Amino acid sequence: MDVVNSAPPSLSVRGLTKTYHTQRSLLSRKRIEVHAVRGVDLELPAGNTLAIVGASGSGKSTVARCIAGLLQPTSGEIWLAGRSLVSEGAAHRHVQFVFQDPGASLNPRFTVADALLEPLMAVRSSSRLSRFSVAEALQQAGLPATVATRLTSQLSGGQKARLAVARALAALDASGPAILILDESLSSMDLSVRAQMINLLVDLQERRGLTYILITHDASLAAHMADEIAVMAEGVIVKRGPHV
Amino acid sequence: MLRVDDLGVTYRAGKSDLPVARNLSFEIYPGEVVGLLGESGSGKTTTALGLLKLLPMSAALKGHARFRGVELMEASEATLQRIRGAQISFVPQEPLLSLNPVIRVIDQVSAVVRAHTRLTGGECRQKARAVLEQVGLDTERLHRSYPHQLSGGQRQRVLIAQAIVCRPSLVIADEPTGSLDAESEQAILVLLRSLVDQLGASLMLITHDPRILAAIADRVMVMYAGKIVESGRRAEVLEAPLHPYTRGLLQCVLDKPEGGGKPRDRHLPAIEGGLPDFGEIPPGCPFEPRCHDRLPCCREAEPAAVLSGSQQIACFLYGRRQ
Repeated sequence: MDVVNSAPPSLSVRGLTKTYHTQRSLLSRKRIEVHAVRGVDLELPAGNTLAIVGASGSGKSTVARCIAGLLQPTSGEIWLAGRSLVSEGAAHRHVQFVFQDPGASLNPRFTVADALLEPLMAVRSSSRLSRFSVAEALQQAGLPATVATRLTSQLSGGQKARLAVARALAALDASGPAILILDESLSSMDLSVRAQMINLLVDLQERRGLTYILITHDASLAAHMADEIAVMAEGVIVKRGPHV
Repeated sequence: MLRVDDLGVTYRAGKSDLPVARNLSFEIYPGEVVGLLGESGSGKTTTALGLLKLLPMSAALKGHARFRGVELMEASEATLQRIRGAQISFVPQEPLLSLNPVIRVIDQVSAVVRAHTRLTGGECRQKARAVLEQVGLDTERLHRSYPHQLSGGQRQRVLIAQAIVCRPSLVIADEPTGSLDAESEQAILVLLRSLVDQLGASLMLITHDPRILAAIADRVMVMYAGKIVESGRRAEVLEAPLHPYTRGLLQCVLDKPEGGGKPRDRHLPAIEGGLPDFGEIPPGCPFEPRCHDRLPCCREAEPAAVLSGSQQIACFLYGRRQ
C-alpha cells in the first residue's frame, strides 16, 4: 500500500506473526504449531476505515486481537502515532473492541450507567472517571439519557448495540488517537439495526476522527464502509486496495 | 398443501399476555419456496414452531392450520409425532445446539429414520449414508465424525440431511445460513433449493436477510410485530415493495460492490426506533410510530390485509377492506 503522504500513518503494523501452540488432541502430549498470522504489514491513516475480509480461519481476528493488545504477537511491531503498542502495553487506551453480537458482551445485571463506567473503574483512573459524563456518552451514541438507570437486559437489540459502542468509546483515552475494532459486530444484526449502527459509526468518524478496523466476511459491507480493503487467506494478506 | 387460517400465538407472561403472532393467514402450495422475512422478535420462529405445536406450555394457540387434510391445531400428539420430522420437517437455527455432541452424525441422521419407519438398524444407516452423500458429506470419515469435528457449513448440512431423510413434503428452515460465511451460505442455499426440487417438497424459509430470499424464494411474506404486513411474488415484494416497512427494510440492504469503492455518503435511510414491545402494542398499526407515511387513521385502527395487484398489503395507504 502507498503511504499517504499528507497525513502520517496513525497505525503501522510491521511483520506481524502469531503462532499458537496447541495439542493435537485432548489426550495427546504432542504439541503442534498453528501459524495463524504469517507476516502481516498494514498502514492505516488516522480517521480512515480499513476492512479486513477473509474466510473463517484466515487469521483476520488474530490480527485484530494483536492490535488491540488482547494477544501478544509472536513477532512483529505495532506502532500507533509513533509509539509501540507491543512494548508499552497501553493498547487499551487507544484501541477498543466491539465484539460480535454486541448485546451478548454486556452484563445483563448491570445498569446502563454501570456498564459505561466499568472500563474506567478497571483502569483505576480517577481523573478520567471524574471527567466522564454518562449523559454525554449516551447522547454520543444516540441513546436517550433516561436509559442510564435501566438494566442492560431491558434494552432492545439496537440499543444494546449502541451501548456497546458507547462503552468502547468510554474506555478510550479522549486525548490521542482512537481506533475501534469492529469484529463482525455488524454482521449478525437485523438490517434496520445495522443501518442505524452504520449511520452512528459514520457520524462518529466524521465528528471525532475515529479510525475503524472492520473485520467482516461481508464484501458489500466492506465496500460500503472502508477506504481500503485487505483480503486475508491462511495468515497473510493476499490482496488489498480501495475495492477488491 | 398447507393452509393457515387466522393463526395466533399468545405467550402468557405473568399477568400480561404477549400476542407474539396474530391473524396469520397464508397458504403454501406443493413444490414452492416461501420466504418468511422479518427481524428478530417479529414472530417468525414462533409461527413455525406453532405450526408444529412445539411451543412451550405458556403459549396459547388459536386459529387453524390444515396440512394435507389434517387439522394440526386439533391433532393428537400421536398424529403430530407421525407428521413432525417425516412429513413436515424443521431445520433449526443453531447447528451446534441442535446436534448431540457425543453421537456420531450418521447415527443422528439414522435415528430420524428409525423414529419414523420399521427399517432395521442397518437399513436406517444405509439411508442415512445416502442422504449425507446427497447433502455433500461424502466420506466415511465425515459420517463417523462428531459434530464438533465439522465446520459450521458441514454441521448445517447434517441438519438438512436429518430434515430430508424421510422425504417430507414440507421443510421449514429457520435461518439455515445464519452462522455461515458468504461462500458456505451460497452453497447451502443452492443445496436446499435443489433438494426440495428433487423431492417435490415445499420449503418455508425463515430469514431476516432479503438477499437470501432473492436467491431462492418463489413467494415472500414479510412479518412485523407478529403480523404479516405484505406478501406476494418474490419479484414484486423484493423489487417493488409497497408496505412502508418493507420499503424501509429493503433500503437498508447494501448493494453488491461494483468496484466503485465506498460511496461518498455512507449514511443509509434507516428505519428509526425499534420494534414495539409485545406487551404494549399500540391499538393502531404496529408500524405507525416508525412510519414516514403515516395517516391520521393509522393510530386508531389496525389495517387488515387488502389486495393491491397480486400483493397482499396490511396498510391504509392501499385502501381499506370494505
